[in-house]
Amino acid sequence: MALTYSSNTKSHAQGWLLHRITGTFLVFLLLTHFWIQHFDATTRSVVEQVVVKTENAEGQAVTPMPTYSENAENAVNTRRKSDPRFGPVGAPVTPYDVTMLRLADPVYAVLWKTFNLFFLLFALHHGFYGLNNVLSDYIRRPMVRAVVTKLVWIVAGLLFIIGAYSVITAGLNMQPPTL
Amino acid sequence: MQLNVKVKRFNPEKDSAPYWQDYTVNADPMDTALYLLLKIKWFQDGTLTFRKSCAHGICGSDAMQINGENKLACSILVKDIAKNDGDLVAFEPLPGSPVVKDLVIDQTRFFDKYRAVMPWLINGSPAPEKERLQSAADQEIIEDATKCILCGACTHACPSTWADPNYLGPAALLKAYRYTFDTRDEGASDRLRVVDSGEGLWKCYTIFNCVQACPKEIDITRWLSALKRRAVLEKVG
Amino acid sequence: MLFNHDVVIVGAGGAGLMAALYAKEGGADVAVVSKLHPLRSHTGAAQGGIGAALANEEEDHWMWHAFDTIKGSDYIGDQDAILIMCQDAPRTIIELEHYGVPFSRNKQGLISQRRFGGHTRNYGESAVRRACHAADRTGHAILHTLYDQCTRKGVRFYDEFQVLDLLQTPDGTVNGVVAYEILSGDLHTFHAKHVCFATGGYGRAFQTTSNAHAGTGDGLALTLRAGIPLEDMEFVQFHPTGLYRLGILITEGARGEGGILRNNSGERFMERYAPTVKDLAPRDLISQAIYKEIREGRGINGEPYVYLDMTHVGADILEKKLPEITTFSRTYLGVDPVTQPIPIAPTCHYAMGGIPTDYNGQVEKGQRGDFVQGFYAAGECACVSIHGANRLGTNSLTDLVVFGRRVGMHMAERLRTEGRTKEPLIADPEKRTREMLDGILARQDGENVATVRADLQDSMMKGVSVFRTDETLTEALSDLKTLRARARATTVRDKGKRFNTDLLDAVELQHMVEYAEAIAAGALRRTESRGAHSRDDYPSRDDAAWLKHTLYWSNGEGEYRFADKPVTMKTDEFPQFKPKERKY
Ligand SMILES: Cc1cc2nc3c(=O)[nH]c(=O)nc-3n(C[C@H](O)[C@H](O)[C@H](O)COP(=O)(O)OP(=O)(O)OC[C@H]3O[C@@H](n4cnc5c(N)ncnc54)[C@H](O)[C@@H]3O)c2cc1C
Ligand code: HEM
Ligand code: FES
Repeated sequence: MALTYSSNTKSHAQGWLLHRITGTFLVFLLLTHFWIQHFDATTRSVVEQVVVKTENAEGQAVTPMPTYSENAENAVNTRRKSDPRFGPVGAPVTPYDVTMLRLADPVYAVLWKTFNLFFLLFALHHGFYGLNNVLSDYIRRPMVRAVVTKLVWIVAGLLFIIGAYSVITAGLNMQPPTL
Repeated sequence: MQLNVKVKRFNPEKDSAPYWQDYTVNADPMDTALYLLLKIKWFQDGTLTFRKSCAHGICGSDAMQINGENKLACSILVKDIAKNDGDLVAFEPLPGSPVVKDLVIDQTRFFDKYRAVMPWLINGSPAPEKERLQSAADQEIIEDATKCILCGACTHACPSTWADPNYLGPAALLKAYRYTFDTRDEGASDRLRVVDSGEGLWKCYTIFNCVQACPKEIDITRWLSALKRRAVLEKVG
Repeated sequence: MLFNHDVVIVGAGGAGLMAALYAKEGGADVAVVSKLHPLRSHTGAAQGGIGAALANEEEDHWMWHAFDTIKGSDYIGDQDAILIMCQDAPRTIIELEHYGVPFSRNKQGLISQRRFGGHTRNYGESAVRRACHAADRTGHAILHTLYDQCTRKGVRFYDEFQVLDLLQTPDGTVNGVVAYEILSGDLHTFHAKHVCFATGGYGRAFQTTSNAHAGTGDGLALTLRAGIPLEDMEFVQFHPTGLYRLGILITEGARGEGGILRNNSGERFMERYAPTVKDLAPRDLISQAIYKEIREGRGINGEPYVYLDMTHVGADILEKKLPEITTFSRTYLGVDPVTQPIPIAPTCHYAMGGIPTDYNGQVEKGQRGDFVQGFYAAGECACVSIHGANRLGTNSLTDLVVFGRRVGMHMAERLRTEGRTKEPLIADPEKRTREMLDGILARQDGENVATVRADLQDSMMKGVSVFRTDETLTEALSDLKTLRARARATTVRDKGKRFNTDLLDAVELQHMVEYAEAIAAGALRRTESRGAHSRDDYPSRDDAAWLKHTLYWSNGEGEYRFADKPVTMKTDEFPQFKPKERKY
């Protein structure tokens, strides 16, 4: 009788605590991430126009490119002079260009990659722990619940591997800028 | 004034599904909601069924949903739920437990959960001749939680309980807090093992419905958070 | 179904749970059968405190407590039992504390104690702090803790089982009960070595009462029907401070914290009635004083109520020490005690009389020592007698826990020494009850239960409440004759088996008539004024004729008889316990 409610006595305290910790870190990680990616005119890769539908003169929907500060354009163009893989000097600057620019400096590359790995790890843990909570609220059969929990963490693990792979390998084949 | 009272009726003996029944009741604004029900039962329809006893909010018998909110019928006045002639007052059983009949719910599961948290003082050391000392400040820590009358309004207002009926729920967890934080208690680790489980504390997502529902105005979520900290410290600290 | 247990306790309030806990600890197999879930019992409503001479705040002695109780009882409490209670009280409270009752604490970390009506130091000198309390939720704290402990110890609970009959062997030994399972509508037989009644009070026979809807005196009616007498039923306590019209209690603790009673001119009228202790006089005196004020036209605005003034006490004390009553008057009357006086009037509160027992809770057939084998009673339904003609505040909880404990231990002890073999049950024990219920269900036309009940409550309030005369009592008794017939001819609309509270209301109404008659008849017979029994036509106490208990038997058909029982005195050893004029 009472056993129904106390038999499953595996502690859940650590998971819960980690969820709070990752959540707290996410505040800072997300702020930094948003600032760098979406607001800073030198580094942003996506801007708000992306989500706002815009039309060109002919009435077709277009996805506008972010516009960059003069500093950013200059830096990319300088880069293009030494490395033709970045395209012709004067061509429109793309998010890819500025991102690669950030990873070009080895010190910065390590810092950003560490940042991104943590961001990835925390977001995945936080999100999937939360997802697990939601699922376990509605799945009541202990067996099914255990299986689903395992599945969720397997998916999270896979996503982490894919994510970590792209974070680590991004820009690895780039030459250091010859400025 | 004349009120339009609706009651969600269900007698599993003969009804296949719950249905709403309408009554017209003459009421004074200072009457309790319980009195509305009593007037119906006594003078209109003896088959209407609900629990009641003390009639002043201390026994916890008559927690039910009134106009969509979990309340003690005896502790809410007509003037707070109806303003004008013809206003509607709706009574339903507490949501989330099987209905025995009309407004009476089956509390078996509710009390099983209460029992699961070892709701008693655990102290293995030999009892002193006099009382165990406890400062007024230490008593204050559990004071608010000892007001609980186990009426079930909180647990039956908690979305986590609705989603997962096996979740221990705020009432049982508050009881666990009441004993764990009693300075005379030595059973924290045993009790924490229960509340630290998958169906325990961590299913409290700080939704605060329990606090809103509590007729004794107990700061339930606050005490559950304290219990969470304690459980975490036990494991990590 | 048939259930077998060593001990069956009927009622799960403070008395029932205490008996259950100690019987269980003594090794008995204990079942508690209760018509309410245990936590819904009316012990949870007790607010102010539980009396014991712990001397945590100032000098106090259990002898002083005994003296106050004896004087409070207007000298017809049994002094041997009172001495036992007052001596046992401190250690019982300490045991409760060890069980976990969350008492309020004083500066030294000891159980906090406060003043209460009628409790004095040094044999009446001045008020003493004797009421141990958990804010103003003392009963609630005790009830919940006891339930927690019974749960821990594995007491078997039959919740929402209403006992409808007491089973006896042909020679009168009690060996079980018949209970109606409210959920299913099934009858069950409980076969036991010992049965203990702890069914609580009966205030619902009066219109204005602080008692719960469940306070319908079932245990008393069942006892009478078994041919066992009731004792001192004429003594009914009216608590002076019930919320006007509703009867909801404002604890005496409110006056303990400094509350003052005032009439329409703002006068502190208790100064006239009890110059020494004023607003902390015992309940009978204050209730009578309030009625006098009202009768002499000094009620507020000419209405039948006076004020309890707490405005000088301060928001802090009200919120901290009296939070419940502060909320009550705000919720139910829309009156904020911090700034406004609270309208109050006396409310039917406590039954001093009940099932006669000795100080171990063994029920007596008539004279002392003549026990009904197998039958115990404890709590408000029992008459030990501690409270005599008037109970002091905080003494009921003390009575519950002290005698509940003694009953539990006594039953367990007897099981150990006398074995567990039970007397055989009579054939078809549920027959009488089944026929009674079927009779009610089968009746198609008859009066509505609520109408008859309202008339009964009205008669009792008019004729048998705070002031009584030959005339009012005779009228009430004649009303009761018709009411008995009417109560037996009611009809119920709910004919189903499941949770049929309509049916149970009808059964309870019949119980109410039985004990109401005991109250009225006893009151008519006792031609004196003593404690809560106050006769306008016999205004003074008459020790020569009436320093004795009343025993009442009824055949359930309106024929009853009485006997006297002497009061146990200890005045040879303790001359201070000699009856004196009761002045405060
Ligand atoms: C508002 C209020 C405040 C009070 N304050 C104080 C105070 O401060 N100090 C003090 O000392 N006293 C106080 N009293 C008095 C005291 O609380 C009661 O006298 C006492 O609690 C009675 O306890 P009990 O165990 O005898 O019965 P209860 O607690 O009333 O319990 C009766 C039990 O019997 C059961 N029962 C009844 N009939 C049946 C049946 N037919 N079948 C099965 N079960 C049945 C019920 O379900 C219940 O469990 C107060 C009383 C009231 C009303
Ligand atoms: C600002 C950063 C964030 C903070 C501070 C934060 C904080 C929290 C907290 C405290 C909870 C638990 C609520 C509870 O159980 O009481 C939670 C739940 C959750 N979070 Fe976050 N979070 C953040 C960002 C994110 C992000 C980026 C995601 C998505 C990847 C996410 C997904 C979730 C999910 C799915 C839940 C579970 C929801 C539920 O239980 O109903 N959170 N978050
Ligand atoms: S009837 Fe007791 S809480 Fe409402």
